[in-house]
Amino acid sequence: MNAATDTGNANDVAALYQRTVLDHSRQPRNFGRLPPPVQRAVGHNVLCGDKVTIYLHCDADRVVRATFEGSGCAICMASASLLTEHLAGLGVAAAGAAVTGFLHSFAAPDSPTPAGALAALAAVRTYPSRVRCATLPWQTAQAALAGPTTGAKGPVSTEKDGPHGHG
Amino acid sequence: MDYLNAIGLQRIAACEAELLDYTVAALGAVPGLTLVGTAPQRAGVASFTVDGVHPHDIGTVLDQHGVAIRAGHHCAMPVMEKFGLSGTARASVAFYNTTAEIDRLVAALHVAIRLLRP
Repeated sequence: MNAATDTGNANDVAALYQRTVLDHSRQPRNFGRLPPPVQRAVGHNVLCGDKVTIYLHCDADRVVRATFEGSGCAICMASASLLTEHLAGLGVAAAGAAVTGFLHSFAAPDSPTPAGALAALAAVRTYPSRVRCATLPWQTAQAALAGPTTGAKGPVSTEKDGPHGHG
Repeated sequence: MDYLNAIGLQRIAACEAELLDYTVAALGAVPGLTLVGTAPQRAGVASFTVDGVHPHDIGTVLDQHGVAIRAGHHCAMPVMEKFGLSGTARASVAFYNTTAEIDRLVAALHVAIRLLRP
């Protein structure tokens, strides 16, 4: 072993697990379920076992409140927590655009870095095996936004995406 | 097979058993670490979980320290569900590994725990 490999790429790990990400994974915001009427969707990453349920309470044209439940890695929990803060208060159309924009920024790594607090997740884009950890909550929110106001949507799975990592 | 036979399967088995013992002892000394699967006769793998730290996060940090492990369901979701686990981290040892590499695994594991444990 030499000194360079002993320390590993500590800077890379620090970029991935930066303070905002660790803070949100340790103390998730808006964790819990919302009572009906609610738009709800379940997302499951079958390869790693991450599972997220997104609850959206929308009035006529606005996301009033967003919460989530689930379990998963630090990246997934932080992403879900950041999502709930980001979507709350947005118009439904704007929330849909925000979700699409976030997912696009991961599908097209050359696209602009997500703005604001979401920039904390930008480094995940350089870890192909972890991208789905960050995108699962957003795919789930997309299903919740598209869904009816009552009952559960069918589960969202990251399985159909891109090249498979190994679970 | 020529390669393995040239070394000798008995020697390989003895070497791997010794490395696995070393690995299990080293991992077992890590606070909050639980070994999953402890049959006396088994292949050179050590599956484990760490309280409060997800296997995939462990895998990513170890990877950045030059240590490759596997993390997740290991294509065995039903047995994971039976044990109530969302996944495990799993180190594999073979005759070409060294105890120094196991030490490096454990050192990187401490880094991951310091970074990620709530």
